[in-house]
Amino acid sequence: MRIRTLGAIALAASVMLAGAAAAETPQRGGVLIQAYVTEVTSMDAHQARAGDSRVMLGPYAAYLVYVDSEGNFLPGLATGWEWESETQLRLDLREGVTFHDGTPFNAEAVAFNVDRIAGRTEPAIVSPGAADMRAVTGIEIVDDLTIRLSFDQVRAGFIQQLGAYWAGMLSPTAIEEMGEGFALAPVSAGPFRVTEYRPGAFVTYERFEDFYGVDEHGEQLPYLDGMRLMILPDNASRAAALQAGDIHLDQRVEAAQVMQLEADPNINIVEIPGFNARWIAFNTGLPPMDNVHVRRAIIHAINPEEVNMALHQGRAAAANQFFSPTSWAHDPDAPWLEYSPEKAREEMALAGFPDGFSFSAAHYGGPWRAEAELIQSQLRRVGIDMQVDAMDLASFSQLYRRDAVYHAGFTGHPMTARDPAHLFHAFHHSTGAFADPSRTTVYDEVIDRALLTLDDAERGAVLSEAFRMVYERAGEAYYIWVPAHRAFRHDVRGYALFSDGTSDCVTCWLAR
Amino acid sequence: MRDVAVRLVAGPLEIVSLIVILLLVAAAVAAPLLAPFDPAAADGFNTLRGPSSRNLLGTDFLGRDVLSRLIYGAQVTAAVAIGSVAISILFGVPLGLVSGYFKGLTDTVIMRFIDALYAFPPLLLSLVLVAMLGPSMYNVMIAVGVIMIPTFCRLARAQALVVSAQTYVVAAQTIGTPAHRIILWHLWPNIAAPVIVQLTIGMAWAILAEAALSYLGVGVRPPTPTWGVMLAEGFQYLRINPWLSFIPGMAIFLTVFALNILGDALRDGLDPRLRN
Repeated sequence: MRIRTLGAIALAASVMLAGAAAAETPQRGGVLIQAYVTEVTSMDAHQARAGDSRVMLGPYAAYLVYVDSEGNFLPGLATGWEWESETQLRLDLREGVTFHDGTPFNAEAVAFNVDRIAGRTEPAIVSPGAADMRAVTGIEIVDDLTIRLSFDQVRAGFIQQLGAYWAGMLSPTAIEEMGEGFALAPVSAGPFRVTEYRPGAFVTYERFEDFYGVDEHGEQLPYLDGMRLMILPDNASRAAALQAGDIHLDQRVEAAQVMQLEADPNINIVEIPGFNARWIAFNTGLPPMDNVHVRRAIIHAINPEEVNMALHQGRAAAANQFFSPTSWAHDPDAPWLEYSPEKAREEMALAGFPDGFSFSAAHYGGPWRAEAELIQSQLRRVGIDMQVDAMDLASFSQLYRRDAVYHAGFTGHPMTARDPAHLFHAFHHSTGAFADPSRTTVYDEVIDRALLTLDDAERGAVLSEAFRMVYERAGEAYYIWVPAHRAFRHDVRGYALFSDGTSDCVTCWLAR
Repeated sequence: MRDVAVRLVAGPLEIVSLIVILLLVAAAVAAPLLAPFDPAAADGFNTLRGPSSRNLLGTDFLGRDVLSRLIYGAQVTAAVAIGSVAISILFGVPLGLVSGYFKGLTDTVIMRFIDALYAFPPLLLSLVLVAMLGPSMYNVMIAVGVIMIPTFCRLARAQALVVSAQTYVVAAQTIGTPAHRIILWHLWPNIAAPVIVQLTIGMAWAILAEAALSYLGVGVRPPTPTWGVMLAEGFQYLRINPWLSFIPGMAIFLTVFALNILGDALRDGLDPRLRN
């Protein structure tokens, strides 16, 4: 056990990506305008259901722990943490912090947030972090700024989970007073407070004057007066807005726009290699997707290299497992089903569909639109008919994940420094937030074992075992790992990323 | 009818317009024979290519043949234009005739309903309808057809009010001719000309509406090619491959322009006051 207390407040990632921030003195003021491709499912951090929700949640939500782009834990609302035993974690909380509504942040607030995420408060909510927080079997408030969490068994990677997008510390007072309205005017203790939120359109934030963070010179953060984040689903429109100077920052640049923006001397582009894994999740409970040969046929019929060349200009890489080589959990020896139309036809014959079959798939726009169309064409070459429906994220969550009416769903995940076992859990465990809609339990035992294994090397071996299970049952169709791109105008400085590729812009400033 | 035919070939603009529409119809009917490739067949290693002897209009971002997609897109364009106008005429004209003939309470009830329908922004209403019904060509027809019902209804009512005051209609009423016979045999033939002219304008509008819905991603389900979808997809590459948007955009423009010119010619030919 060791205490991990970092002295300086470092809320953003260690890697500064924008401008010559180190050589310049940050200027105060200004409103940074940014755009993103999609809406969050909820602005209530506990109930948001997608990893990239952090783009909208991050500016207002404060977290106990932050994870930088290199996987290091940084103190947030917790200034220190110690595993006092294998099943007991002590958190030391930051002094003098208040939520945006003036409610003091203390151990009681942490206890309330843990219970709410676990679904133990009234009214109970459904949070993607429920499984992690339900593992907390005891909460002891030692004093106002110290809290002890108990578990019934070892919970490897729990600290990382405290930095997950859904683990923001929210104001208990605001939640109790506002009820369901909280999601429209959320309150936390982050660097900015939400002043206006129009679902599907924009969020505006203004600087929280009592924010606890300071920079390395002791200057109060954030530097900006405020921010405005607009939802612009069209990739070309976002790029055009950036070039025209209508926005300062595009939080998601697709490959088609990268070449265009690279040629613009006023734009900087950050590339995060191998960041996003894209794959097709199968609803293995819905025939014909319950047939392993059907699933294998689909995987063999997908040509990842063609997807890469057509849609990512060769910048991406063919995927063969859940984790890309940028993750420590990547297994270079993991077997996979390679692209082979001949094998696809063989599997179709074994499945009893020598002349082909049909299935339905859903996606929620963005990069999946083009990828789905190309893969649809690839599948048609061997006689597989994939009917694709595009929808918004909320409909996708409802129709694909909850109602399970589609055979497959286009999905993906970022290669964050989030603990790999927890990430794998989210998509594969029967209780995971993004699990196969059939809620299969085949991976539960091995995932539970990974979560109980503290040693990273041993945990990696357990995960490799899980990869083999995915391979044997052709549980999902990985097809590509793509780099993530962010683009910003030259006057943006101090832009830094968290491990999940998002930024709360706490250190951002505008050069004038 | 001779006057109409003469008007349709009265000048070079009318002749060109007629040719454009005939080409559209030919492409729609004979798409499988005319298109050199399967419009949905992607070739990811041959994307964003310019015009060549193999692909006369180049390839799109998935390596699909643009010419083939343009030809097959004409099918959807023609189907939506004809289908949606048929729906709006089928419902709008009878409602307008009944409203204009009976007047009074019947007229008030029907026209308030039509006014309510008219009050919705047309594209917004069609968006809502397609979102409710789901993305498919038939649902796009319904959505576009519904929003054009008020136009045909108002036109038919206005004409019916005028015609029903004519002496031959009054005479028919006097001898006890049933209302449905008067509407069918006296009113409808005498208001058909402006409806036919409106039909061409409606078709042009329907093509634009389908393109807009497809552009917004709620139109016909991929991989069925439509000009609106092609326009939207090309927009992503506007800076580096502008022809991907230019070609379907030009096809939409020419078709709508041709329909408007032919509409004017029809009006001139069918309106006795404009014949000379």
